[in-house]
Amino acid sequence: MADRPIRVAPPAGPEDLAAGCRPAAAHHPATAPVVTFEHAGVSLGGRALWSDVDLRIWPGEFVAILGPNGAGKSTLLKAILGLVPLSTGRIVLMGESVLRGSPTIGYLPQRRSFDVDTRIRGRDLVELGLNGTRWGLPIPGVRRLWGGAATARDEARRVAEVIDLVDAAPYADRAIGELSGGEQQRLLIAQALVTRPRLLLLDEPLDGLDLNSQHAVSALIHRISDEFGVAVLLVAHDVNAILPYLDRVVYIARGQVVTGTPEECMTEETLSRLYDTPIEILHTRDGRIVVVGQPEGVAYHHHADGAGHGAF
Amino acid sequence: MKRLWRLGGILAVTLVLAACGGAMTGPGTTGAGTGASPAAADGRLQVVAAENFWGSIAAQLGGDKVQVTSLIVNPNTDPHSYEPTPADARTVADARYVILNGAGYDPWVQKLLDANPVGGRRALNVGDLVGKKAGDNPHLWYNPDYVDQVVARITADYQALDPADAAYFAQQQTQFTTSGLKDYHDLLSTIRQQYAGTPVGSTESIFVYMAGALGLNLTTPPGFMNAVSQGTDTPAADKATFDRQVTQKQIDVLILNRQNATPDTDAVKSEAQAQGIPVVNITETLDPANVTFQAWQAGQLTALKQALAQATGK
Amino acid sequence: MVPSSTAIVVPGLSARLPLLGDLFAYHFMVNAFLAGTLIALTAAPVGYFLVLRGQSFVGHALSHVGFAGAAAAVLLGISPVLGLLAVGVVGALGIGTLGGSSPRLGIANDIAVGTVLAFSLSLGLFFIRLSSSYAANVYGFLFGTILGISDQSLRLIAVLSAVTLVLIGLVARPLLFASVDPSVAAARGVPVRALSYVFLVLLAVAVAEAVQVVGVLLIFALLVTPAATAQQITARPGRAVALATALALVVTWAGLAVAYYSAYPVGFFVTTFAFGVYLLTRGARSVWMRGRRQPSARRVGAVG
Repeated sequence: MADRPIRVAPPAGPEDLAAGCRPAAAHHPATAPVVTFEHAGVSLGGRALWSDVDLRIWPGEFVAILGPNGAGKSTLLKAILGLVPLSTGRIVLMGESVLRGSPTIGYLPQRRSFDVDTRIRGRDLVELGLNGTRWGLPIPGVRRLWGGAATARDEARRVAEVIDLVDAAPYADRAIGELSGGEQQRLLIAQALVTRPRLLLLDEPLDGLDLNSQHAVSALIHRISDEFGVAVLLVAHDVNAILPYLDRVVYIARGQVVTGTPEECMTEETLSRLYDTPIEILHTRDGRIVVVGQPEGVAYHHHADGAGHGAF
Repeated sequence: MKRLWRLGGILAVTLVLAACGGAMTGPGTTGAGTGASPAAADGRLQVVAAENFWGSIAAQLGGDKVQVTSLIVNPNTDPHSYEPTPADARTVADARYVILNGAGYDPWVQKLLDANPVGGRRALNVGDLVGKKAGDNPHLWYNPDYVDQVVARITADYQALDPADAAYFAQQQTQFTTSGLKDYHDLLSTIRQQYAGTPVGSTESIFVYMAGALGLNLTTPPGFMNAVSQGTDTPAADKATFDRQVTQKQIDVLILNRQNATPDTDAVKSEAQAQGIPVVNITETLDPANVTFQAWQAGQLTALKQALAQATGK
Repeated sequence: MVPSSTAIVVPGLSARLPLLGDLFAYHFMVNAFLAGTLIALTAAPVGYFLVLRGQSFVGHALSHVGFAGAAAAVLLGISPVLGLLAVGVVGALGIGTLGGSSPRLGIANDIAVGTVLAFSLSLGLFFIRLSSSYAANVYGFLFGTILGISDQSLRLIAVLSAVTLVLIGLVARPLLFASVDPSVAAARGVPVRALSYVFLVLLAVAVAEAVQVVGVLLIFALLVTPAATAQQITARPGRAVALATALALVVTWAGLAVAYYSAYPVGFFVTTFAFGVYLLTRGARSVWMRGRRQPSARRVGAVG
């Protein structure tokens, strides 16, 4: 395999996809990427979910991760978090190898809703994002010795700031179980942001929200990404709510990972080849995209010669 | 956070107090801080008996030099499941002499004693005295030999606690053994002479010692008797055996513990009555509560003698 | 006459407040109050997490598991409390393992917990049968033995309480994080699964202690009810723990004091007071909630 060129396509393959679906020019060539996938691959139960992935995410980018159920979108996020081990290759985060528990990443897992009876304030939940990993309780006397009292005030201020940022101040002091899905989601975003991360990973954050909430939350995420230069990787099923803000999309399907702008990647030709089934794309008058024929929960077979090339 | 620290302060103080409490205890600490001395204001020795059968004996042996309080006095109280009240705990704490049955019968008494150590207090654990421990048959007061041992020991303890009245206690003992227990001992020997070897049945292990003392042949399976005594399920095989013994009239008399009636014992009783087998009722504690130990036992032995006479025709 | 230890502990109090002095006149009552205080202090924070994690049933199950341990200990001739503690800890770890890999790790499903509970009760009965001695020794554990706390027991309780409280203080924030938000906590490096086991062990210790006050059957009263009441009143963790502790202390002290002058068991009073406060709080809260909602409804009606 040593003399193989960088991009080699199997007979009915991704080469065509690669050609149509890659950025015309990379953003900020002088800036270091926030995350770099180098020939990364993940196996689940002995078979490769996706493999040989080369992907770079730049600071401040707003990227959507799309694809059918079971393709490995959440796994992509978890690999960055160090929750899922790589079977091949490596991921580099801000110049360092990935380790678990890095505060430079804000994380919003999938389908997290709180029991109606959960008796803890939204504000406390956000604060846990800041100090929930610290062992022991603060000892007033000792704290003051090390200027610790100031730390407590700073922390409280930081929490208040980030709650204001997501416009959740009116209900931050109520029990989280009492709040609506959209309100909970805002507070959880605040929790993800409280450590001032450089990278925000969101796993289907719009799932279960009504249309208005979806738009509001998407706008909020974009504002944060824009104002603070936070790179956003967002897994979604329906791309419409975030379409206006997207810099790039990453498609994972049948073990293949491709990336490009929405215009480049969301073509009938590209998607049909990706899903190996006829896909129709309809553009509505108000700018929305409707993807028809996209299979859900497709069981795919790993190509023996190694599918999933995507080098960009 | 501040509140948590206040609570931490309370905890620290409490731990210190606990340590003080532990350290302070030792010989010389009394139970009552109200100024009452271990001997009551009228000078009598304060005695507590867990059960009124021992209490009755202790009262008679001590005469007017002692004040005996029994904790279990109500005939309806089940001694096996007794929960001591704060009043009981106070009574025990104020006592200078405590008598408990032991042998696993009344473990709550020892806990009360441990919770309130008192200097100069004596305790008589009858089980320890006669060499029976938890797991053995604890119905020690139905054993005449053990009763005699207890009488002797109580007198000796009285004399140690109140040496000034030693002669009085000796006199009380003599009177009790020769006169008080006379009917009791007479009945025992009469029944032994006339009815030794007679097969009898008992619903509970309470009668085992007495059957031995009387020479009666107690054929009821021990598994049945123990289960009833402990309040657990009777093993099926033993129950079947006992039923057979009754229906085939293999026993002459059935002894029944009236204070420990279960559906199983009720069934046996009905069957025995149907077969014309005389049923003798005995109780676990003094019944009625105000009779003396000897009157109670003698009454039961008399009833037993009559039943044996009726059944065997002797 | 040698002065009693209580005179040193509460000097002058007996003289000024005869009623209060009466309460502490006996060593066994001093022990009862000290033990009750320590146990309430320990049970409340553990109970807070128990309610938060929705594991109240596990607390109840562990008391029954402990009962089997106490019965086994009596069979072997060792201290029932130690048996209760040892088997309780083993049971806790077992329940944690049986709980499987649910996202909120360590929260066993009802079926697993219920099965363990039933089995251990029957095991306890089996041990009682085997030991062929009276169940009286173990019977006390069904309803509590707070009047029979020896100095040695008190020392053990003090040590267990101190260790438990220190450990809780140490893991408080990560445990809180793992309890309400296990997926993010795990992503941030909190050892969620390990903490589940640690908590279950702490729970076993708290149960072994609380059983001595209210007994196996009424364990909820001390472990769950004060914490549940506190969470009705406030959603702030620090305040809720403080409030739960205060409530547990008050019901324990009140229960002991009232029982002292009555003929009824301590466990009954502690449970009744705890339950009463809980009911009052629930009632007050629903009235308050209704009052909060009505004005806005009226407003909407006026506009629309």
